[in-house]
Amino acid sequence: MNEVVSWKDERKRILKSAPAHVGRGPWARETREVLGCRLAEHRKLARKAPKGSLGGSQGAFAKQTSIAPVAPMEEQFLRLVDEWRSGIGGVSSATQIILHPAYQAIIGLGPDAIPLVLRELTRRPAHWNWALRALTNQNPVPAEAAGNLRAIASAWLDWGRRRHLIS
Amino acid sequence: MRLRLRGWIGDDDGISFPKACILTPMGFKEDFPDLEQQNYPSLLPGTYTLTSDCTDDYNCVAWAADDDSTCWWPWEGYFWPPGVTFEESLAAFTEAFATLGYEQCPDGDLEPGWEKVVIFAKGSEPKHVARQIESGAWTSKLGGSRDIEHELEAVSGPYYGKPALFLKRLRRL
Repeated sequence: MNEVVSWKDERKRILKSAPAHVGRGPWARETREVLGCRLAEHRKLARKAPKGSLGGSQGAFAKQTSIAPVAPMEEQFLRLVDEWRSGIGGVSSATQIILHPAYQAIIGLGPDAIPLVLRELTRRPAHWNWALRALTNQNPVPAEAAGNLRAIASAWLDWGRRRHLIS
Repeated sequence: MRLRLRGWIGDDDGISFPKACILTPMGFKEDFPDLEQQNYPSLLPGTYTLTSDCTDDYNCVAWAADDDSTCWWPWEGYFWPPGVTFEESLAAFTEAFATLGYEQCPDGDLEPGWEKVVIFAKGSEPKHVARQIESGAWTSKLGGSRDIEHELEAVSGPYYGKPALFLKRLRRL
């Protein structure tokens, strides 16, 4: 059974799980745009829903089987990773890499994204340290590993294995 | 110009060497599948040579500093030399390279016995660093993409801006 949620609830969930800086700072507009795209998808789904299938005057929802589910978290995550990678292809600046709207939107996915980010780390050590710190509020990386993406990935993967978040 | 083998022409008689072959110029997209040509308008065939595969192990600043295992940037979690101003400015980048013995110089002309680096910037924000090799060409790590040897201005453009500051030190043996 697929659970269909209204865009309003989804918006609340996104904003609740977003890091404190979402909505503020120079990159806020881009981040809102990315989140806005996701909300637009929900509105589109709600419009396509069979009449009467959604409860409430705002299209607020019920548990339904008749409407296509919203994009699962994993699909959303992979789309954002693709968008991020293609957006930072030759960028050297760590600031630009981390403040890329898609990267910020991944942080906005909230704690459910942690296993997905860890799995991504097993595929390719990349700039996930900042996202994982924001998502977990923890920092298992020793100071001497600063800048060494392989050592950083290894520290996070150990952290994830100890918590059974990855195998 | 580098050429890529596209195929073979000839009789299929089991001879293991080509009777003739088709060679076509390599394109930007083939060399850098993860980059957009529009961000590197001057990176044209003949202006660069590929010298590595793609890797995230190090970035352009580290590569210019002769370090191929770390990413340098004044951002939490990245390497930045201890005691150096922790900000994205030409002054902070100059300080960082000063820890390796570099000092400011007027241009990127080849000077025998000296090793130079150039900081590319957009306005006053550093965006890229490249190092001069003994031939006078420059070597760069393009973000998470490949290392290349190139002419100085070949990587100028919307991503990296243009050469803003040159530094030099005595070349080490």
